[in-house]
Amino acid sequence: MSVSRAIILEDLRRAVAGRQGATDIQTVETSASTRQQDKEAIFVGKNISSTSSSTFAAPTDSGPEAAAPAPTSFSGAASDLLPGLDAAGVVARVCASREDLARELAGLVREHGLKSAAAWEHPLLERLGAARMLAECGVAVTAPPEAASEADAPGVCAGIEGADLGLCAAEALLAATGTVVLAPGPGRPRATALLPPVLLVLADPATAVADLRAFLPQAREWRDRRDPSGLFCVTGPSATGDIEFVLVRGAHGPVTVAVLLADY
Amino acid sequence: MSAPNSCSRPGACAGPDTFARRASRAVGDPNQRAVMRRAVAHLAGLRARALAAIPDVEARRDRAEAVRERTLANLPDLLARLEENLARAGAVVHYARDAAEANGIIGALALARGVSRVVKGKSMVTEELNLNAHLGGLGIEVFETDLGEYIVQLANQKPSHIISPALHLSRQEVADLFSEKLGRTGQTAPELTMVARRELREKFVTAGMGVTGVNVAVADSGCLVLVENEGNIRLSTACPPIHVAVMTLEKVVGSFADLADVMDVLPPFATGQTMPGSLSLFFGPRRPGEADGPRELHLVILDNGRSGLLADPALSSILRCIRCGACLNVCPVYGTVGGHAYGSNYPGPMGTVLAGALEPLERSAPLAFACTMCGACARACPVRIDHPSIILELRRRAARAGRGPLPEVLARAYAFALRHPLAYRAAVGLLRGVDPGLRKVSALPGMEGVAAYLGQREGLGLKPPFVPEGEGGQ
Repeated sequence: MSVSRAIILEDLRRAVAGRQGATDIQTVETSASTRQQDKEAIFVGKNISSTSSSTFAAPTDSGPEAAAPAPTSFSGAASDLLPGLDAAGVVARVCASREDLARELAGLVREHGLKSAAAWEHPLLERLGAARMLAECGVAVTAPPEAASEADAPGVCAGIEGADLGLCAAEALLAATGTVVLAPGPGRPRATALLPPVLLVLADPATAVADLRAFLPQAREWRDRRDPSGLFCVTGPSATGDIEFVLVRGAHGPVTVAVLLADY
Repeated sequence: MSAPNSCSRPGACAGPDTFARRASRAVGDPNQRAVMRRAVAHLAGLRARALAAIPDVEARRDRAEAVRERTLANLPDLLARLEENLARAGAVVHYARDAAEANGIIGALALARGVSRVVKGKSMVTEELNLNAHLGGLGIEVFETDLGEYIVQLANQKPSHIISPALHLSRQEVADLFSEKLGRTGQTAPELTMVARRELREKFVTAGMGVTGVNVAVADSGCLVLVENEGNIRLSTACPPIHVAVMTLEKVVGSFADLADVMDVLPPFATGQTMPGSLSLFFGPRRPGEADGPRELHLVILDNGRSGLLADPALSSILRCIRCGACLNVCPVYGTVGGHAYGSNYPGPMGTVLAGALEPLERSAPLAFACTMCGACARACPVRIDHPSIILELRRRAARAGRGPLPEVLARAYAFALRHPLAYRAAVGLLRGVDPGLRKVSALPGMEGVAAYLGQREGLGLKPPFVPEGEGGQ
């Protein structure tokens, strides 16, 4: 459809030229100079950072706190984490030690009667030994399927669908909204965070940033450095209000989301 | 919807399905009006509560408006950069001038890969394309997976709201619908949601293609951004081997900073949320070694009249629209007649404007004349689109094209009366004198139209304000 492409882009060029020609059109002249600046900013590919005027904590807001020697990783953005996660409808706990984590995992297994889990391969999960701990609680933990050339996604999804628990690790946390950022990749199927009724996300509180605005520059950097196929900012369990606006937790994705913050 | 008497009004029911006829039917249905009034008040209330908690709403609106205006001023460059970055990541970008081309592209993709089942995320642009019917005609099953959209698909209806497609249906209606179409149902909203969840699980896992819209595309990073709460969009793009995203060409912004400015207003103005349940950033198809995610990612960029609209300075600001639905929720006309009465691709104030710009005049002109000019939409809009001004312009154009609501001679008489206070008062006095007699007149044979007119009038009473409390004094 390269003909359509050429026609559409040509039509747009003419329309845009027309808009710039007609000065009497809109209210745009008030911001003409800033727009010019912004346009240049876009062209040289740098972020427009008029945005730090946001009243939401921008990354620089945590400057003083960050400058002081932080006694624990629960300073700055991370201190908002628990209220944020709570507001998002997430079951969140801080684990200050290996024993803490093992206890929380055992509690989760008991509470939800978990028998099977589909786990991601992720450095954080490895370091914490999470899969082993789950296995010690009697949970059959399945490693992610190999991306064999013939194995197609639907088959992978069907395999993960039967698991009681999806075990993932967060790349980052957005404190204000209690959001976990999940990055799919080899050994990290997207379906693991979607199909099992319970999603357990392990996270390092040191990866917390204030909010989406503070995170997006990282997303840009991620894309440039690691070339991921996607990034998912997940806030609470899947939910719907489509029937008479009754909030129902557990729409198509997880019904329960638990986040364990490994602060050790 | 039962409307026993409204179709007796001659002008409303003779001939094909018109806005007047549909609106008349909706207005005559007290159940529908009650459901609509509750629904829009709820949505408007969610937004008002969210905005009350945001200290810098006006600054956010300024930034969002500026981002969208920058988009309109740089569209060809932004699209070229988006295309380049997506292509570098392995995605394929298609351009479609109109619905037929877009449907042709998507249908051909599906047929070439032997796709027999498609799962869809909710998307208004595919409604504009009428894509489901097109794919159905090719023998491909299409399943809407957003709960509201799934419900209206089962009911063989169109969405009545751009973010809450089934808000016109009561829980009981959904329960009956599920019972009839699925053979199982529930009573409560959680039970009904669970029925849909079970029903659709198998579809996600077996579909050959996932089709979604796009909320925002980021040119600098070649990123498609989708916003949802249910997880159905992520599932539609995790399991099927092909992901086709469809967007109208004005959805692109420059950078992630621009995206942050849009996301500052989109969830609060749409649903009162700070963050949606899922904000998904798609950069390309799955990478080597990944076990799921689409093997192919296609983006279809649709024009369908937008490039012409961009060249029309009196109307083009509607292209700022980010589809939050706030204007629908505060519109007294939308709240009274509901989304289906419009009969256009999009309902409510933004739909009236888009219809006037993109759809045939005989369909769009009556919508423009139905507006009360109360201005609630413009006040509710996160990107400061001035819908009433645009609608006035649409009226001017419709009148010039002979599509005004009044015959020429009446319009002249009306204009004369408005220019001459004495004549105006005399005319109004005369009409006031006649009015009490209308009930008697309506009893005469052949005067059913007068009866229908009287039936539409509401009794005196306290009317709900156009804008919920606490919102007006910003």
